[in-house]
Amino acid sequence: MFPLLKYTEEQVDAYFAKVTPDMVRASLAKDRHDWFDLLNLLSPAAYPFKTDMRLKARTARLKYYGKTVSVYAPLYIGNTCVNSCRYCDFRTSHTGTVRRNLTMDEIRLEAEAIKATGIDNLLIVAGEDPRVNTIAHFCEVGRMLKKMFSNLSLEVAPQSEEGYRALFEAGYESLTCFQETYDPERYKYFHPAGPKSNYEWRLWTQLRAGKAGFRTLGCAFLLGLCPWRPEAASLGAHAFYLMKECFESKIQFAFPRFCRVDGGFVPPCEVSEQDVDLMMLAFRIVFPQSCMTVSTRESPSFRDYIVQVAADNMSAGSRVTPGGYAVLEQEHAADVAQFTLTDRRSPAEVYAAIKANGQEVVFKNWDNRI
Amino acid sequence: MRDLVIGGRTFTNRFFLGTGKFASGDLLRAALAASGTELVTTALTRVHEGDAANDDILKVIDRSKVEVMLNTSGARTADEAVRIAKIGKAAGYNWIKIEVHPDARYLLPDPVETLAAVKACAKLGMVVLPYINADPVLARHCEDAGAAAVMPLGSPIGSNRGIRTRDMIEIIVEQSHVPVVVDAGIGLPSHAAEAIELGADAVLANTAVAAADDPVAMARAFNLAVQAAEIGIKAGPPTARVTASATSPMDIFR
Repeated sequence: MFPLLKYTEEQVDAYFAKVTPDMVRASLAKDRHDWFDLLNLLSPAAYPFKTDMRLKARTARLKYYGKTVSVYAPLYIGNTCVNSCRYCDFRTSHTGTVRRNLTMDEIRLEAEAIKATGIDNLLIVAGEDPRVNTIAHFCEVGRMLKKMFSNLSLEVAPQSEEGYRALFEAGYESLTCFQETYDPERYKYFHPAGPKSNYEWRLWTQLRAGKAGFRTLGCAFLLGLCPWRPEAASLGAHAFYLMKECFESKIQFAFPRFCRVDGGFVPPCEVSEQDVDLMMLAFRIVFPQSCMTVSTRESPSFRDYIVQVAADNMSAGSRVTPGGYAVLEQEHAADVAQFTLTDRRSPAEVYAAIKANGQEVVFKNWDNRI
Repeated sequence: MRDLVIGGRTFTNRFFLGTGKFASGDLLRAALAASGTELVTTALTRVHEGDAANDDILKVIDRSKVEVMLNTSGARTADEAVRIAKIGKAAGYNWIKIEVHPDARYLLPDPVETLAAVKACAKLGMVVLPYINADPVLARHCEDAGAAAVMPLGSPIGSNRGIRTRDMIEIIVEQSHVPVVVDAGIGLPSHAAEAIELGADAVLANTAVAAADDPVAMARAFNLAVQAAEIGIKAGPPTARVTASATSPMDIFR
């Protein structure tokens, strides 16, 4: 569990089991929600109330995000990695992955290809490799790309507060760092070696970034690694904690889910689409103002539905391979993705789907001149 | 009720509209027409102010009829707000709504940074309208710093909770030498009417219109509600003398 919580996983599980329909009703009727409301809405007793939850989540989403959906794209600048995460195709021991770190020229080429699709909000992603993916390198990339995009986000290995200050100065406004699991023991099992094996260092990433000025702090656990209810309870507690400690930063939730792939990692605690739906509705109700993104690992139909009731932003036309937008095409090289995408639509197809549902696509919601 | 004059421009309609959260440019255009508004506010972070002809939002606004007031939404400090204001001014937008809300959850305005931004933007010769908490003393400070109007909140942005700051807004109305525009939290046409009845000179709403099932009908409803409140005040309600007299504190001084 999130370490500052005074409840154990067993106690939280016992609470989930005891939630009654009346407790769900009471939580739904409230205007302001606390951590126990989140638990009530995540409990097995909440399933029959999904229609009510959907209405309440949709109202909250409308209030704070209106009839708009923000879009972004990830740019993988490198996939060499010194970690050994058992589930990740970027792990050191996974010899099937072609390793590549893009040069500055290649990064520019990729960025131009993304920009040409209308995307103005860019997420920079890289494996953890202190030899190449240094703060100085990220800063150089940030300074170059800030001129092209209105907003830059970062999803790389955890850095120090001082490092985040430099990255913020270089143009990054938002940060995402998935905790993977909030359970320290299971965390140790899934991350046996490399710098990522340090649970605490990763856990306080958002806190350090928030103190360094980052505007958006992305939090998540990996759906499929561990039983999801206690993880979601921890995620909620983490968010409540960050909202208090970093009141100037927005919290962003993501719900990345492992789907079984041939020959790939088999998630020990598979999570169904129905469960992801429940989680996203519950988090939207309890954290109405927070940002929420829907993963590219979900199906097009689920993504198109959930951005109407819970999520406020989504990626479009994602490639999760360094060079996947332009460089590889030139070289006709094989795909070396981090994980398997389910939504493979082009950006134009995603925009069309958003519009068909009566929503406006928002490309720009920050400005690189500020 | 005094005429509504801000920055030398006279407004015949007391309903102002925000342009965010609409489902499409076409809907925004239709809602603008139905609202009767003569002033809209748009976040600079959402638009390409230097390319208005191709911008989804700016291209549907007829600037010969409607004043465009850019806003500094997203700014967390006075410095950021002033940078945004300067970018807007360079592109020909001299009206600026100062929004400095470091609080990411409730978007509550920072009084210290807001006041500093008002001073700086007023010095640049801009028409400055600060979004503030319903704090009567801060409203006076903003006025002294050069604000063309003050915009106290009814409740947090986007909350649709209506006017929860009623008592403080009454004091602001009573003491202010500049127009008072109630902004934020207005969720229903009746809330807008209530603001005018309290003595506010105008009302600004966005979410309530943009997020409605039928934004165009809702824009019209707000337009009518604000007009109804204005006509009602001019008609001299027999049961609300205290409110009515507080709406025109300057009358006795000419």
